[in-house]
Amino acid sequence: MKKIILMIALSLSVYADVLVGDKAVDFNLNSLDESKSFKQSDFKGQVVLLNLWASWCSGCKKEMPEFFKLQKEYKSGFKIVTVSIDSDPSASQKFLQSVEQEVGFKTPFITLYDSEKLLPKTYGAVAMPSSYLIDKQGIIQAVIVGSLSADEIEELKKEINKLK
Amino acid sequence: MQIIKIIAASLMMLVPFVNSYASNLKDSLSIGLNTYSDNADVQVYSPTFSVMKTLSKNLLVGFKMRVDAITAASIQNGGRPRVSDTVIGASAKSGFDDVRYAPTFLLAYEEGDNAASGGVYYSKEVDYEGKAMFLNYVRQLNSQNTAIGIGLSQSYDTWNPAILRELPKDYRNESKVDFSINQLISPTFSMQLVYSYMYSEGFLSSPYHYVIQDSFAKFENYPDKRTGHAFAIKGVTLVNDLNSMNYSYRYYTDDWDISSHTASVEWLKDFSDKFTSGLRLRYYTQTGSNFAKDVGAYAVTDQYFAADYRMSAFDSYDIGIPLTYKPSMTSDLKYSLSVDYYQTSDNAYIKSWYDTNYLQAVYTTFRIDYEF
Amino acid sequence: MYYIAFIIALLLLSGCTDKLVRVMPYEKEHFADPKMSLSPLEERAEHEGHIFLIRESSAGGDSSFQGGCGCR
Repeated sequence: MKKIILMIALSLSVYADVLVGDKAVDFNLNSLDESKSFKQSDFKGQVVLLNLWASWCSGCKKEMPEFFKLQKEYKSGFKIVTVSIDSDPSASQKFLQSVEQEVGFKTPFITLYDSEKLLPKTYGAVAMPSSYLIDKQGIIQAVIVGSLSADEIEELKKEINKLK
Repeated sequence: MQIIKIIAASLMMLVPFVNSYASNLKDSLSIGLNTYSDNADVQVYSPTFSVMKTLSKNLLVGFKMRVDAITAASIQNGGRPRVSDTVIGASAKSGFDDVRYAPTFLLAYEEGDNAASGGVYYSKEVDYEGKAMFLNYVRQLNSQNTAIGIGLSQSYDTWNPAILRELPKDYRNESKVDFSINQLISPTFSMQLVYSYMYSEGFLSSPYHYVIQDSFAKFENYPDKRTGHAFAIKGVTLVNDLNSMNYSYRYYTDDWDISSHTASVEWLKDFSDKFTSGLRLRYYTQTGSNFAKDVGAYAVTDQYFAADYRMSAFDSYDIGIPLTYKPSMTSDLKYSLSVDYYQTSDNAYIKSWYDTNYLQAVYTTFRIDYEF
Repeated sequence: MYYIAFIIALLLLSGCTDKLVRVMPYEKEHFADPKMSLSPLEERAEHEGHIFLIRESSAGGDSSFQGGCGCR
């Protein structure tokens, strides 16, 4: 699995605007509920999985419950930061509520809202969803295209634990 | 390092990508009920059932079943709905006059930008047996903006007429090839081009239709080969967040000199988060075959005879209302319903066979889809 | 003859990658909407496929197999 993630990272790095080894793109986005705003630098010192998603993307629907469970396993040192690019924020909220009902607990991670789709443009996302594993220094360690299954998340945890 | 990246990227273009995109294969179950009723006294009730199950992230197996339960005065009366048919002379029976069972088994495989599916189809009714196999392949290109598809199907069908008649050939085979290109033009507009090639051979008319004139009666006789081509262009446009339009045009031509134009347009509107409905209009016009003569103009020495109005020139119109209902955005259930009215133009062949100037029909579909 | 021209067109298309990437993955929101499908009601498409084969003399122009009922 490590080979697969690395191969994906290597090959897509030719296409993506942001490559493995680059600094993570800085951003300044509001949370989905508009209560706070966040920058990439706010997460320095933690391993971050930055996930770009939308309520209309079928892969995102499959993957999101797995991310809920993944964040629950890490109390500190690792943060999932999801960024919704829906045109309508209420669609994102309804979607997260339905996942909360499915898994039985509230959204355990930060969800930001990027209606202008600046992050996927800057990252050069080639599919939806796309995820980026970022180390404590803010350097991109892996680019993940498409959704992750439960088995693939088990493999990802090994990479996260190495970076922690 | 850059060279390694470029080589890796090039290899990725040629080889199916490893788990790079979420698969579109989904577990699902659906049940449906369709109806058809026309003024030729034909009524058909068609329950349908399908189950699709993923065996892995990339592989899906499916089973579909369609049953057509047909009540037709023409079958009861022997051949024609309102005319005493002494030529065919079949007798009425109780219950449905014919029941057709049509199961289909299919396999679908998806990996990255490649999707392939194939399967076998079988149908059985009182006087006809159909067997077919099919294969489809779709390749996505240009960041999934372009999709190129090819479909192949081959049918081997057999006639077993319900009347005592030895047919010149008892089989009817058809080969079909479809090429398609889908292209996203903008975030709110996409188009598709399709070309189809069809080749049929065998007994291509009906064993029950006949031409009757003052001094003779002759069963239908068509050429035993037919080659057809169809070209279609389709598009769908988002007018605004709540409204979309889809439209299509098809041109068909074959070596029997039948050519046709089919134009269809449909408007769909989200009336709420749950309900979508709209209006569909379809127009069809075709020319007659090069061997069909005016009703009553056949000579006993003619090589070919046609009694079926489909070998003559006519138009048809269809107007329909679609409706879909989804209980919520994330619901696993979806309901769809449609009602259509269909009518042909006045046609002398229709008058001669069905004793009515034109055919008119109402057909409905209803289906429940469940994703699990 | 027709299908040769079609195949050539397909091969040419596959070479024009830049011009044909018109919608980025994060802009495909509307194509996930069921009303943006070229054939939005699958059950109706299958049922009327049979009806039009029986009631009309033309076929083809769809990119999927309908079923060998031999009605044509």
